[in-house]
Amino acid sequence: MRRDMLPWNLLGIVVALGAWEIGGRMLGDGLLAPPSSVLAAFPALLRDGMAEALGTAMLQMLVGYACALLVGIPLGVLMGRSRMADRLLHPWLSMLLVTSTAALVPLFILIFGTGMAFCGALVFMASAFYIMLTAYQGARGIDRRLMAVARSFGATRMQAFRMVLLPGLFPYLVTGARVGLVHAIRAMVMAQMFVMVGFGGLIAQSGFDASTAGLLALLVTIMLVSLALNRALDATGHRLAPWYRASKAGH
Amino acid sequence: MRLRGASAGIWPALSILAGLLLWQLVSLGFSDFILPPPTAVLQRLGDPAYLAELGAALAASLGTMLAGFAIAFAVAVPLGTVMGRSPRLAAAVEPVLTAFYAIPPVALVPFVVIWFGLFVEGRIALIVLMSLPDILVVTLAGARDIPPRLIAVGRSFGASPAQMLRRVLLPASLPFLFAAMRVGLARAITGMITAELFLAAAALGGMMKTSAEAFDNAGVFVIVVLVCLLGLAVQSGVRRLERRMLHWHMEENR
Amino acid sequence: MSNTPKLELREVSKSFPRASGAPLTVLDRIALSVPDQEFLVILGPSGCGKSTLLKIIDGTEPCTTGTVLLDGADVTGRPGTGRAMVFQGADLLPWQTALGNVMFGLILRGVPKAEARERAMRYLEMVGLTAFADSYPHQLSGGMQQRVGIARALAVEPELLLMDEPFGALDVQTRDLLQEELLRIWERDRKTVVFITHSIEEAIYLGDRIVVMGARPGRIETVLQVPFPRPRRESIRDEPEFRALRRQIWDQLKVGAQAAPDLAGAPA
Repeated sequence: MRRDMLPWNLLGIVVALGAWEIGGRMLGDGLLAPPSSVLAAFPALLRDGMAEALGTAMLQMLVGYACALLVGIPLGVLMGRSRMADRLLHPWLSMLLVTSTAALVPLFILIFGTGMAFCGALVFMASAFYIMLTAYQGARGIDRRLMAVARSFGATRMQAFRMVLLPGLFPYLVTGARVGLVHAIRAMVMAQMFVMVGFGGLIAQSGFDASTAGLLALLVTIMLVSLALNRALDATGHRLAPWYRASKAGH
Repeated sequence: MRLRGASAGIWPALSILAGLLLWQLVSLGFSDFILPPPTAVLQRLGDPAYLAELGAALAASLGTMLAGFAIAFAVAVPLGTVMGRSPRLAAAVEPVLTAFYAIPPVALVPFVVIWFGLFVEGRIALIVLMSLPDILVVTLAGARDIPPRLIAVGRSFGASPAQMLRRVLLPASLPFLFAAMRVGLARAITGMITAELFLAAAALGGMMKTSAEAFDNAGVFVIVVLVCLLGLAVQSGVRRLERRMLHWHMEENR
Repeated sequence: MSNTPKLELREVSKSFPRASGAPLTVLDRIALSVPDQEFLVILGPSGCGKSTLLKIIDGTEPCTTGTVLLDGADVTGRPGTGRAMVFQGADLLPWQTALGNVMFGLILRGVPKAEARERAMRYLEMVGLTAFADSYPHQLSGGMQQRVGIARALAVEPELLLMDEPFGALDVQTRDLLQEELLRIWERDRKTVVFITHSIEEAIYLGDRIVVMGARPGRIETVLQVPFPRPRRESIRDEPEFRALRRQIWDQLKVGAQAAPDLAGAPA
């Protein structure tokens, strides 16, 4: 986002919040609680243990997400660098990418039950293949000319990997991690909503309230968490590799 | 997301076959109850009554999906195009869009129920909510990327605003409109199955739920595979259409 | 030749406001008069604003002060009439065939499709691309693309042909070939041409007159008459007179460059 557009960014946010507040007051809390009511709903939610539920949910999500990173990155890089691996894995990747996480929910309940394994498995399936796809694109897209430069300077295989491949790959890994995280959070909420437990359960239950203030407060919370985690990953990527944001994968 | 079809001979097919074989072998160690073998899933499709039911459910699902997608596409494409051509509008809308995007779509379900009910209107609404942001993002990026050089050519030859739209901007937008269509349809299918499972059970999602409640795992598998194949078919269909209509673009980016 | 020049620039200046201090002057009071049927070359280092000047003549870029007159009529800031531009990178529409690209300007001007087609074919023939009428730009080489670009501009039968370093992106052989071909076309059907380049040789080989520009701010350093008669042939490049003129212009450009020591950082 360009800095000189900052006033317009702010204007957009202010207009959206204003429209929400005015619209909410006109429609009433039952249909659309305005921001002021939503803010007022937080103390009650915190009393009811929202923070603990959110913490547990994030922990479960992180387990599945970590597995997805551990599996998705190596497989994606392998696919990008080896033609045979590409041929063998590509059909599976294409298939699993278009598989809707929601469609897996009933199946996974039958296989894993409704506990932590279920949530973790769903998160894994939702995020692993996006991570793999981005790693694959990164590994494939490594500039051939840069590899040629490395070879011309007599780099060994290991040196070329460390000095050209890895730095070139890194932006894609960060992007993959960010995209994967979005899907991981979505899957976590989905799993919990379906079996009505934890944070997702709170969302599902708040649908029965007379006021939408509680529901919207929960949505705002998960939104802020998601934005904050994404921002944190972006900042980490930028700190570890300053060339990350300038690269194609950084957008 | 642009997948290169790894159409290198028989290896992909071999890989799928090996996967199915592995599944069959592994499932021998479990009861059909937990992991049914592929043969059990195939057996299902031999039953004509089941097939008829499946066909009707598929048709119903597709209808809702296309309705939702059409609405989302009709709203998001003009909006995204205007945003792409106006940096200030884009700057104003983007933070709001980012914030909305960060909300897990399924968490909107209670809201959709309140506004649109549990049935077909609700399902369409959820599909719209789930596909619209993705279509918008792709359209916005594409409209932003229309080469200024081509616009300069149009201006130099004295194109009126209408001519500019018809002869330069529109053809230049076609590639990303197709991309938006691919992404949007993929999201609409996800939205479809989400809605059918999380609102009142209906169509394919309904069949899935019924099977799951009867602990009929093979029945659940059939739907999962069907939804997956549907996704693949839609993607390759759009891609084929794209190749036919936009050969200049496909070749150019070879 | 009538008394009114084909193209006249009166005190054309262009400057951009800067956040700090005085506005940045890109073009400083350019005055220029181009008689009918002249082949005028504008030569200058990158960053001297020659491309901007051409866009101002084309009417697609506004100037801060001054007027552009075409046949005595004020066309400042109004693109589309009487002028046609050949762009640096050909800039063909990728979704149109070679023929479709040549037809582009005609269609915009409301020429009926059948007639536009016929006329476009005529100009494709002129640049020797009849066989490639149905090819798409990505199927054509860089040189062929630029021939289509030239045909596209000629097809609207402009009073004034503007060429913005049209051969700058081509390899040397293609470039020489296209220069020759351009001369052949131009000698047969004389039009007023304003041609921009940063190649001294190209300027001498093609031009009747050469306007040498200096940078920072962009201004006219000197105007030179090219003494070689027409039709010109490739062989004149080896004549001592050609080499002497090249030397003279080169010295002129060096003086301009020394006057602007921060030339290297100048935007193209």
